[in-house]
Amino acid sequence: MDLKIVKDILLDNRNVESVCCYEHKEYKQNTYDCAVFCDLVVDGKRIPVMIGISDTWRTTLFDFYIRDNDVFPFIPHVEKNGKICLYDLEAVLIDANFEGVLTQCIQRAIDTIRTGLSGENIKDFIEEFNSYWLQLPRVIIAKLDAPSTRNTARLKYVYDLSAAKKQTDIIQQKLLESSTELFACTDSSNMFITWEITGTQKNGLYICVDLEEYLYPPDPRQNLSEGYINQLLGMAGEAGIGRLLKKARDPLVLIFDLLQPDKTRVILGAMCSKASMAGTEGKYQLGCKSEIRPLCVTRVDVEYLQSRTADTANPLRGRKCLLIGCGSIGSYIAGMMVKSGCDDITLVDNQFLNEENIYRHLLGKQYVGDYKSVALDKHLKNNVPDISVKSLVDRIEDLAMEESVDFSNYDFVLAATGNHNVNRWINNYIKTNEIKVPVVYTWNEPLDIGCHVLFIDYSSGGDFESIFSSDENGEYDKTAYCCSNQIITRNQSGCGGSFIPYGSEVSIQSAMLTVDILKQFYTRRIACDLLISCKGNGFFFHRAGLEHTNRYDNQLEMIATEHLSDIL
Amino acid sequence: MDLQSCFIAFHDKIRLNSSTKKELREKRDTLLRILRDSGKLPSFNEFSQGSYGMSLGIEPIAGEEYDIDVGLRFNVNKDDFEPLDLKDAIFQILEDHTDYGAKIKNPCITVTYKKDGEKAFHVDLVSYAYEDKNDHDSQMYLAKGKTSNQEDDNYWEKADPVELLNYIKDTIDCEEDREQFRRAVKYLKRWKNLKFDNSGHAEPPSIGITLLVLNNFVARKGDDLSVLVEAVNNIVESFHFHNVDGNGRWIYTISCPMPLGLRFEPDSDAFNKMTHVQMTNFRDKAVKLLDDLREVQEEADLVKQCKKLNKIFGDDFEIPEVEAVSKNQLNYIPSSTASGVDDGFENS
Repeated sequence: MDLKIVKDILLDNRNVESVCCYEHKEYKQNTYDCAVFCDLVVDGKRIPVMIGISDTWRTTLFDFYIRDNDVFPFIPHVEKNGKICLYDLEAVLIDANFEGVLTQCIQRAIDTIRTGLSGENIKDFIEEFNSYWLQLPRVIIAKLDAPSTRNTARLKYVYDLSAAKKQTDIIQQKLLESSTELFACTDSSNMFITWEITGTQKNGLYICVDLEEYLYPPDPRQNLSEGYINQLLGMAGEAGIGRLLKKARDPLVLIFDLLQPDKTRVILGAMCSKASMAGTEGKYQLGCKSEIRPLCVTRVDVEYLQSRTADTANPLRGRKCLLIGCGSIGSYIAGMMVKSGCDDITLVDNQFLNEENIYRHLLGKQYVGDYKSVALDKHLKNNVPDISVKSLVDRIEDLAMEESVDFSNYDFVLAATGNHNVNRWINNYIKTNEIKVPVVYTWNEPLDIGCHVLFIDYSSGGDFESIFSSDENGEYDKTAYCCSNQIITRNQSGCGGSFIPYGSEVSIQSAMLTVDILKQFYTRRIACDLLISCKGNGFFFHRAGLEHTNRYDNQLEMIATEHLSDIL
Repeated sequence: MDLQSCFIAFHDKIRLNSSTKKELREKRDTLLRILRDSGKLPSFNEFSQGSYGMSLGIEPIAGEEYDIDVGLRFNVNKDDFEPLDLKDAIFQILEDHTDYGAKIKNPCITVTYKKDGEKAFHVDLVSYAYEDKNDHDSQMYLAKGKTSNQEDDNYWEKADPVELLNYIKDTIDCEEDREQFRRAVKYLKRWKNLKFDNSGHAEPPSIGITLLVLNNFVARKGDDLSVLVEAVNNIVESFHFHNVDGNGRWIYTISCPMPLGLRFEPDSDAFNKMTHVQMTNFRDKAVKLLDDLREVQEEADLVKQCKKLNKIFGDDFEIPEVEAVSKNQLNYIPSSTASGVDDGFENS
């Protein structure tokens, strides 16, 4: 790092004064290749800062610190050690122009300080409330299975310090104490089972408050005060706290679920040993003989966890799914479906998972020898909380005949056997019985030539048979990329052991298209029956000496979507 | 095209254009008329001071205002008035003259005007009184102070603004050299506008730069770059080491007393409002400027020179199109020998 280059850039900047550059200097427990001590000019005021520059600036940018942070006002985007948060580096592209990037960062720092001191960006506190709460001294991480409806209620929590207390080494004890998390929920204790939480369950309070005025985070450089908590209790009004307090235990745990005036939801908490609550309904005040420890609450309820996958409520949540076929395609579909919010799924497959399956199946050697549907059931429940999975080991035809499966009980059906004969049976069964349930048929073509997804909403008269035609050679699939009358199956284990070769990436592609088409359907972006054909590279297909159809040649796009009625 | 023509073009961009000067003059004249017609002030004679008076005014950079400084020599004895008496009276007359009103500052009263809804101009009215109102050659005094509060420092300060102006105007005899001097000062004023924040006294005062450039000025016909290099070198040489601060930074000071023979307070110095830290910051930037200008001198290619100067002086220093430069260069390629003339080369 050339200090002269850095100094020259700063000297050219009218908003930077008193520049001193140091090489390989430590500051706030970080070592920088170049540390610059200077003043930033902000609305005529000189703010002493430290700019830390590392050779990794292309990925980490620069660190800006306010040097006299102990006496600097508490403003948004400045951490308690004085570090200014310049940019959220997630999904940001950093230009390789050092001077440009440094100049831009300086301006950003100035703007952050200026808007903070003037109060212009005070609302930013609201958006990042939890990040300031997390910086409070002696904070405890709490995980909350938040209820689906916001109502003040009794809280059950587990805060198990037994492992820490067993430590004889003081340092280890402190480390364990500081890393012990608190788990809490309101509706039931299922959360503790789901997340395998052991320890004594105690009662606390979960208090919901709709704020009339904005609540800003406390200064993280100070301990959380009684006054701050009492301010929240005052805002809670007559929420039935008195009744809940009677069953609360020491240490008193209060979790506040706040709705700011702009509907931003903030959940925070406090734990207090030897606490007392005095007052009457609507006017409770906390008295705490020992310190109040802030709880930084992260939600672990399904609704919140799934919100990272979509910007609004998940369209697949609450819908019942029947998945027929738990082979390569079906296994990836099942995994993606539950991760996409589908929380009720019935799996149908009568085959075992064998060694030869594991390289193109979601499941691996752990489940070899198990029925595919049962193994998948176990895997999904072990890894995703709060889902209902049922596994059926049989052929769908038999299950339907025995009435063990009623298609009309499901919101949609996924046909993932990859077997057109089974698909035709499903189609015929549904049409004959006039069942109005949408079906998504998914199948792969050999090797890397491609895959297809066919969506039929049976309420509008669609028919799977429409993809077939016949000529002098017999019936053929009009959608196929692979010419008919070629030997495409392989057999490595004798009669009954034949299979169509393709890699797991083809099944993953099919699964992605399947989940996507369902999301489109449930967000009303599909108006008719559709065929989505994904054209593969075909390198291995052609190397195997196989021939493709005109349809393959005629498709220009990698993924083509056409109406079922238009398939020629 | 050569570098000098680029400097001239830059100068043309930054100097105050005639319509702006006219507008400033009109505003000045309007204020003077209001003051005279008010009947609330003693008689006075005005004169232009500051950059306008010295023909050193430049276009302000974006976000800053045009300004004109007007000295008001009141025909009064300074002992007959408190420093704020005249300023308060002026303030009351002009208080609501514009949307932004008038403001009493330590050395002057500022009246701010807007244009297109934004602050655009201000006129600084500086009040003077005489030692002896009947002798206009007697010592002049500047009225300093902002409020009548006892804590504030209100006083009459010895000043000789007209002679200072004359000194700056008349030191260089040759008109062409004087023009070059003015260009150099304007270039440096644009540089300082870009490189220094103008709040407080962080930005070195224009009078200081003007005097430093003038005191050591050597004209270089058609070579503004060399004049600039020498001027900045002289500025850098004017700094003196003072001490080392707690961070190990070397602290410098600079001084530029008023010219000998002028009747200012004995300790008057163009840089006396700057702190040592501000002076050191000034030196740091001046040293860099000197390095950058020397790099321009060492660069042979015109376009590259202009790119460096554009970085120093901002976008008003234009970078010529490569074609415009190369066209000129092509003009310097010798023509081929005429046909039929033996050029002395063997046929291949």
